[in-house]
Amino acid sequence: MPQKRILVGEIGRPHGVRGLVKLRSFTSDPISIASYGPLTDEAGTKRYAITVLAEGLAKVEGVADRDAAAKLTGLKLYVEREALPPPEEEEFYLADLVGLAARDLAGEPMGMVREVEDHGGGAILVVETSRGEMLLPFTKAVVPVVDVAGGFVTVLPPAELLVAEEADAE
Amino acid sequence: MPRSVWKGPFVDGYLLNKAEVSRASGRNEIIKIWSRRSTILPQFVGLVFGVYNGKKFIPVQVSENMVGHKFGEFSPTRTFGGHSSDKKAKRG
Repeated sequence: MPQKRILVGEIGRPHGVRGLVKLRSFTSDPISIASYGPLTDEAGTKRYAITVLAEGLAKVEGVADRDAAAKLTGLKLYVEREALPPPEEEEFYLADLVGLAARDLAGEPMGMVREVEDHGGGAILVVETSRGEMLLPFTKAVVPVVDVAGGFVTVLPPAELLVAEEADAE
Repeated sequence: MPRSVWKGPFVDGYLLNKAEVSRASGRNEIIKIWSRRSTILPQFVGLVFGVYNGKKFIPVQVSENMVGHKFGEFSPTRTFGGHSSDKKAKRG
């Protein structure tokens, strides 16, 4: 089974003539992009060792001039999922949650977790169901079971959401 | 310019009633509200509100550090774009 790779950044345009590049880091702490070991391209074939110089600027090992740096523009950088440190109790990587199957308490399939959003008011699971999307707060009451290894979450949507969903479908 | 202290925080009256009913029922529910302008009060802590953003109700779990902010701050009206990357979510 191929290892899961997580997008952590993207190389931007060259900076100067010594091979430096602009770096867009998607990690929660922008500097930590280089702390997960060598980064790879999307296919996982090429590896890149990156040194972050300042926020938004980086040096790629083996790239010493502007022309070589320009060839990397737009390159998306990935890291193996296994390289990330294990999360704390009751904490989950968003990348692990996305794609999990959503089931009800009886084990019947309800849909799939399409996205996890957080706007400052707690994490929200966006579950794609056959009747449209459902936004569920990521709480123990609404999502009592999260089984990343098993590939599913058990959800108990509040009654108000189910009523709204039925109204939308009509 | 900040709001005058003597006026107290602004809250739409119906929110207080809804929150009270929800807390008394003890059910796992989302309180649907349209009042983005209302201030989050200490008695809302622990409840989950569905704050309307013009299209859908965004779930907002009220925590202590949200007191004093407005509900609308936690329910963006524009499309959110971002990468999950190494970000984590804590189950509340």
